[in-house]
Amino acid sequence: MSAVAERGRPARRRRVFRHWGLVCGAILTALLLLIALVSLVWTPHSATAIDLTQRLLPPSPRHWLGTDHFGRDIASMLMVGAQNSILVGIVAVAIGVALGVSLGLLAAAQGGWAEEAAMRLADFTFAFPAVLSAILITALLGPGAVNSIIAIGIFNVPVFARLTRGAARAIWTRDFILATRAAGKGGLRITLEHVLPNIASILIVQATIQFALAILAEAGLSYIGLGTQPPFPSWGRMLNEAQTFLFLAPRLAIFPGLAIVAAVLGLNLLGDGLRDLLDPRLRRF
Amino acid sequence: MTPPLLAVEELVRRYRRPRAFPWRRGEAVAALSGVSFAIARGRSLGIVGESGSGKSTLARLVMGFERPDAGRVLFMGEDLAEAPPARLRQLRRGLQMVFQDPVGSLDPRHRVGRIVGEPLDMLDGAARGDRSARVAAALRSVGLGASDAQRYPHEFSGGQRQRIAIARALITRPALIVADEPVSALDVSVQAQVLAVMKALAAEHEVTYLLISHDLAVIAYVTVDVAVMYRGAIVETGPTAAVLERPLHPYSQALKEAAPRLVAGRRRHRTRPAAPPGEPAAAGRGCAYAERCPLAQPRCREEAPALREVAPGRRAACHFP
Repeated sequence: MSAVAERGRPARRRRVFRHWGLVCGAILTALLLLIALVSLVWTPHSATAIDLTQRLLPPSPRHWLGTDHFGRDIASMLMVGAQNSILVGIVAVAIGVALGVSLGLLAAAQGGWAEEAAMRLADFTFAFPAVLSAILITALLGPGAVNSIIAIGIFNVPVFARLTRGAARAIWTRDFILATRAAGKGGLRITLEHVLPNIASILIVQATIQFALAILAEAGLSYIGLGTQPPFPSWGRMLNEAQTFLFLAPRLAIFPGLAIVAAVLGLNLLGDGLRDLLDPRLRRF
Repeated sequence: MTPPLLAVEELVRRYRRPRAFPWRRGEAVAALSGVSFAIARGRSLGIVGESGSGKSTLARLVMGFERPDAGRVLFMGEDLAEAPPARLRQLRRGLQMVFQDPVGSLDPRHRVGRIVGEPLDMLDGAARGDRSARVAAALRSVGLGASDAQRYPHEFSGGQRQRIAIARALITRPALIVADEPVSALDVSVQAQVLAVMKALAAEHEVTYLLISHDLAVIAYVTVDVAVMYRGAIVETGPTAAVLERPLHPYSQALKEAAPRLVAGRRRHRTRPAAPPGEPAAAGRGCAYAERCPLAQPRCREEAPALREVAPGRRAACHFP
């Protein structure tokens, strides 16, 4: 018995390192977080200082990735922009998890009309294309980082609500729930002690993937001018501003584009890797 | 006079088939149609019957997981469905369950110690006692070690898991344990071991079982009395040894005949294959078993036989026992 237990852990650790997607994703995500953290205390130059004498410089030892049409340092803007992307991602996913998971757990535990109401509400939210509803909300509340976070967060709610309800309902049919009911526990305690721990891995995976989608959505909103407002740098708005100089200085679009690709790819690889690792039904390696 | 440990009175439970058309109600199928019995302390009762006879529905109703459509379940003289929450928690202490599936009945995310101790969570401090000591004692009484409390369920074999489930049922020192097919998911070699644990505990801890099984040998090993169920009703009851030795109802006889034996012998009469479960032919009229009964007479198709005493301590629902 104990031999199995002792062999279990290193085997799992080995599996983590053999999954190259998980490793790449973890490295990219860690890099993104590291850059954002470093930018809080240090950037090569100020990300907002305008110096018109230094316009559109190519990459050099002084300006690693060159400067834009206002003479701002691209590398510094990308670093500070990472803060923005991560903040939007975390808060938007947190909104989605907090509301969506509660709604889904409630629907699964309660059944009947409460489940019906919660799920039709989710359908209603889902029926609007994500970007359209984000535009709608920013149009109503005005553009800005906070409002774009709310818009993306609301889009995340039905995603988590549906996923949680489906997974939680499957757990509710298991015999160990009956055993808990025989002990006299109520719906709330069963949900917190048995249902949530058993669906946590699925939620973690989905949260990672929604994080990537949130970064993408924020870049999209900023690109059309509804997201983060100047002068705070944002990857999406950098893409927008680069448009004018696309032929003169294509690197202005390439570098923020690469940053978005790296962040989204990293999080998606991480999410898929975690799914393979945590979801026993899909265990292939 | 003290009330029996468990009394079940005229229990009826119907399920609705999914509706065929949105504007029509689903057809009702009776899983239990008027089941009554009583269990006295120390006289474990076995329930046998083929699949679809309503055995598991009976267990769910006794445990209070579902409400009956009619009839009552009285545990120590009190109706669980009517007891106020505080009283219900007290009553639940005396009533535990062991499930069929040793994999599904233990939460894979909890350590064994937490699983076994869970029934204690809802008790007040005095009744709870020293949790870890009680978990260790419960594990030891089913032949596991106190250190097993630190492990997770997946580290154990099927037989060990079922003993963990028994330890969980045992920890509140219940008077009655409902066991729904406790060994049918286990290898035959492990079945005996789990049954031996159950039987030893009955003597040691004064536990009475309501044991549900399709296996006559399992029933014979653990229980004092037996009730044979067919299509949601009890067709025969009596002391286990006597009923298995000389069944009175034709269906009980067929069950006994159908049980696999090591010694090859001629079967007395062949039973016809089971009809699909559902309402008996000409709903409400005649004996539910008449279609399959080798002894059926015209009267059996007209008049449903009542469960009546046919020999001292033995009752059967048959016109011609």
